[in-house]
Amino acid sequence: MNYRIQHITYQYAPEQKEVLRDVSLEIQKSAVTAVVGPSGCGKTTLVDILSGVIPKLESNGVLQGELELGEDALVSVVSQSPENQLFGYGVEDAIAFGMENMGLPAEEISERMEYVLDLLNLQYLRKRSVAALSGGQRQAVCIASVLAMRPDILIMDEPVSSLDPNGKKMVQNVLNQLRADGTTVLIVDNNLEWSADIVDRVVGLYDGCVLFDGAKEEFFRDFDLQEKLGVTIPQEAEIYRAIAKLNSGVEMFYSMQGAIDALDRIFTQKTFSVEAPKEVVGEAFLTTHQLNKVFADGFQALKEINTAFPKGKVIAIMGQNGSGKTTLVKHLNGLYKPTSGDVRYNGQSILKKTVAQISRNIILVFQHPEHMLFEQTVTQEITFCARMQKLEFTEEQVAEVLEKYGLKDDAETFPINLSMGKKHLLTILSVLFSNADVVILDEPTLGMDLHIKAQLEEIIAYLKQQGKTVLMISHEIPLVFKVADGAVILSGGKKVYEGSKEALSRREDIFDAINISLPPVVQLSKRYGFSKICYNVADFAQEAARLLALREE
Amino acid sequence: MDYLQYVDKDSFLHRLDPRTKFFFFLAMAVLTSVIKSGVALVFLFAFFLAIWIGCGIMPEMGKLFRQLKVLLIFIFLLWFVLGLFEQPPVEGGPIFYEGTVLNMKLCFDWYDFYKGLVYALRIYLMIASFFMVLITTNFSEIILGLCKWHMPYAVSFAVGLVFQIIPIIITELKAIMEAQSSRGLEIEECGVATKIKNYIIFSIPLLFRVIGKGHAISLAMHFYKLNFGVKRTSYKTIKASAYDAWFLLATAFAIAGTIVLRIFFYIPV
Amino acid sequence: MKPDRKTYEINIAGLLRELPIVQVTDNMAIASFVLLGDCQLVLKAAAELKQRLPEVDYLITAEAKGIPLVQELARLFGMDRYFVARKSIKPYMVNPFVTEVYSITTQKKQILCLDEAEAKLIKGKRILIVDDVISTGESLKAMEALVKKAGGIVAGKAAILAEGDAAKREDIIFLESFPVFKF
Repeated sequence: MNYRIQHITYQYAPEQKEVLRDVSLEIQKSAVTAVVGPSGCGKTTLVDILSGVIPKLESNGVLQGELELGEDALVSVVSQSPENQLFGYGVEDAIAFGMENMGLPAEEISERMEYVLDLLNLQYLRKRSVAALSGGQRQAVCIASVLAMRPDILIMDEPVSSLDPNGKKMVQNVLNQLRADGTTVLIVDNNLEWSADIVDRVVGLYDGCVLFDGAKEEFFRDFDLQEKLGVTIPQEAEIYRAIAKLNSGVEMFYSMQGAIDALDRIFTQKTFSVEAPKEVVGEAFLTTHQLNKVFADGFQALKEINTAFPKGKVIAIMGQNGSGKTTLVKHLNGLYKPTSGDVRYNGQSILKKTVAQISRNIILVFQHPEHMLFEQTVTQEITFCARMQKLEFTEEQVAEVLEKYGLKDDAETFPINLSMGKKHLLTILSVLFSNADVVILDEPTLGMDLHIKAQLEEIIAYLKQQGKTVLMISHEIPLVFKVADGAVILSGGKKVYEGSKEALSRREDIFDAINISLPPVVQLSKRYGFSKICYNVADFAQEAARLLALREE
Repeated sequence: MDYLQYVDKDSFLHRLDPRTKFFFFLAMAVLTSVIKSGVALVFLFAFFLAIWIGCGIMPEMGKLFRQLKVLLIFIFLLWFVLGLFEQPPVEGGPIFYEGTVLNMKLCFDWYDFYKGLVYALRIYLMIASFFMVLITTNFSEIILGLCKWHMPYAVSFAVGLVFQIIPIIITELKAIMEAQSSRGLEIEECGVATKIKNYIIFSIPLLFRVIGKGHAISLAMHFYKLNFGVKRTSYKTIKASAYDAWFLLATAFAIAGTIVLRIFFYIPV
Repeated sequence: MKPDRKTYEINIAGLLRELPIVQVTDNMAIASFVLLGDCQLVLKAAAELKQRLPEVDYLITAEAKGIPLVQELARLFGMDRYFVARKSIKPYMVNPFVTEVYSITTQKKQILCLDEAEAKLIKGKRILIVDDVISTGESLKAMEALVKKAGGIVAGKAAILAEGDAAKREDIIFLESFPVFKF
């Protein structure tokens, strides 16, 4: 029998708006179900109800309806930030914690410990300390610790949102193992990009109601629904969407392998030989010279980094976690001082200036918006940089920006209460009121849904149009290729590439070396010998249409 | 900001039963509060040094000393100044100045230095013994050790949690300071008043972050079915080994030595 | 230290250049820097160097690699002329002004010379000595001697790069430094 949720309605307090309205759905046993929907749709509330947080820990709300999960069903959750979830110093301690709480005898604990470590291929981590794990490893250990309790349903809340490509791959492997093992898994994430291949079913929530409950193939066919829910889908699915308009006979795909299988029947494979356009050397005005950074513990985070960031361009900084990306940008705005080498802005060394002084020219927006927000209202927050730098601004300008980016209704809201995506948007918007001409964004898409990501693209385009330089650290490779002009790639603290996106997309060797894949549009436009490399789906569709038309003639 | 916490090494001290180390700390705490003999304290200090060198934790202890420097100098000066108003209790030894200043009888002598040094050394040894335990025992072991001493699990867990959370809070504060200065808040070149104001500013996001973390931790406790009313089992057990016996023996000798020296070389302070 | 690579990357005024590493003796290798022919580099380096230079009356360099740099610098400063010390006496020179240098590395006697008319212009003026790279400092010394002999005042010494120990000198102005590889 499957797990059933019947007619659930929930209010956080009586008289308040229902967060969930008459939600009924079935969770299939031994299947992976994705719960999608925009922020505020009720996903988190649903998780809280399933896991018993409501009403056990939060008992003020009004809960109606029925959960049919079976006697003493154990529902376990892997939260978004595993660093808050792992109890214990070592990996073994953390995995044993839940089982010890259940009062299992020591023999059984060690039996299950071996089982989960083997299942998830984590034996090599067992003697390590939790603090020393990478993000992906930590997430995997967290999954293991929950799995060891043998939950009936395992819920994962945005498990990869803060992981690098390697970490994502690790979680994908773990999920594939769980699926093969027959675990019932619920992934709560509005991003299906990484899980499209793993998920069996999709449940779409919108404004507290179930809009969709069915197989994933069916979901990927319903373009309007995907858009309405703001779901991030794999770029391959977007390509399918575009190609299906040109050729209705094309088979559906949502993965690279699927795309190749389907498109090979339409296009012929060709060697791609179009040369990259000649690189125009821009005016480099932010440069690093033989930059070395050795931390107090002896770890060398940066090795001889020479870079020249040109004016008025968008430059992506890529690499796996630990490759030195964040360390590099913290040198650019003076937060870190190099062990040797120099950072220059307009030819002048910035090493002797304070971070606040440098921020007039070079501003860094952090990964976690909570670290930056501390004003009482959204309006005050957005003008923070301007006030710090004593710059003029008018109320109309502020109102205009708030209006444009959908924060008008939140103007007087306490920033902490905004959704994660909006918080992030807010910290980035405050840069618009500063006159810095270098803007550095560290993982700006964290917590953003499709809609807010589109706004982010607009902001970046606007900054570029103003002649500002935007440096962006991001793991979202398709987005990076869409918006960036060039890239700097780091690996193990060394620079392995610096140059234009055009030249970079011809260098598979680099992407193999850093274990990151080129975006599907790039891979496919090369595979089928398009007249140029496409960086977004619209361009790709146009090129594909041209090629098809040519063939018909 | 640099602070001391558990150091992942495989030293002799790391391998000891946490209970042995707790005992060591308690014994040293008592000893250093009772013993006021300079010679005995120097002997104890030598014993500590031998342990640090033998266990390869000299770099960490050096770091501790640098952080305590100001406190130790302050303690030294305090007792040094107080000593100026006293005559040395024992005859002999150089006296540098004796006389009346502003109606106060002053006596600047060797004993003032002695007293300051003894008090500074006692405090230093006491704190050092605590840190020897802290940097060689991870919080899982602390919990386990406390439980073995029949401390209720809720209490042991809370103690362990504190050690888990302190580094998180410090990392958070650091991140907030970096983020705010990146947005133009001057925190480097500013006066004391601004510095204090800045810390108040930082405390707001920090508070929200800590509340957020606390919430996440309480949720996680729920997910892991942590219930202090139910009897827990334990995967790892701690067992004293021959190492512990040797260590306790050495400690016993050191205590005995300190007490003997105290009896023979005591100058009341 | 044995160089584990064939090139050395350097960032000169925002232009990244890979300098080939060349072995010069059994236990020493240097990165070779050729300014001649690199149009972009001359312009950028001159523009950035200009910001760091003191006010002077004339610029001087020794042939040949410093010539494009001194030309561009003179243009940026709005100077009508600059001087190039030659390494041999040319037929056009009237009463040439000569200094001799003994080079330890080449074991040869080398001369630097100027025309008498040029020497007269230099007399009593503030002169900046410009070169592409300063390494051992021998040719720099010869230039200084030449300027002083002509009665000029050496107001500064500048180069794009300082190699090896030259980077530690405080009397020269340079954009970047790079090491000599010893092994």
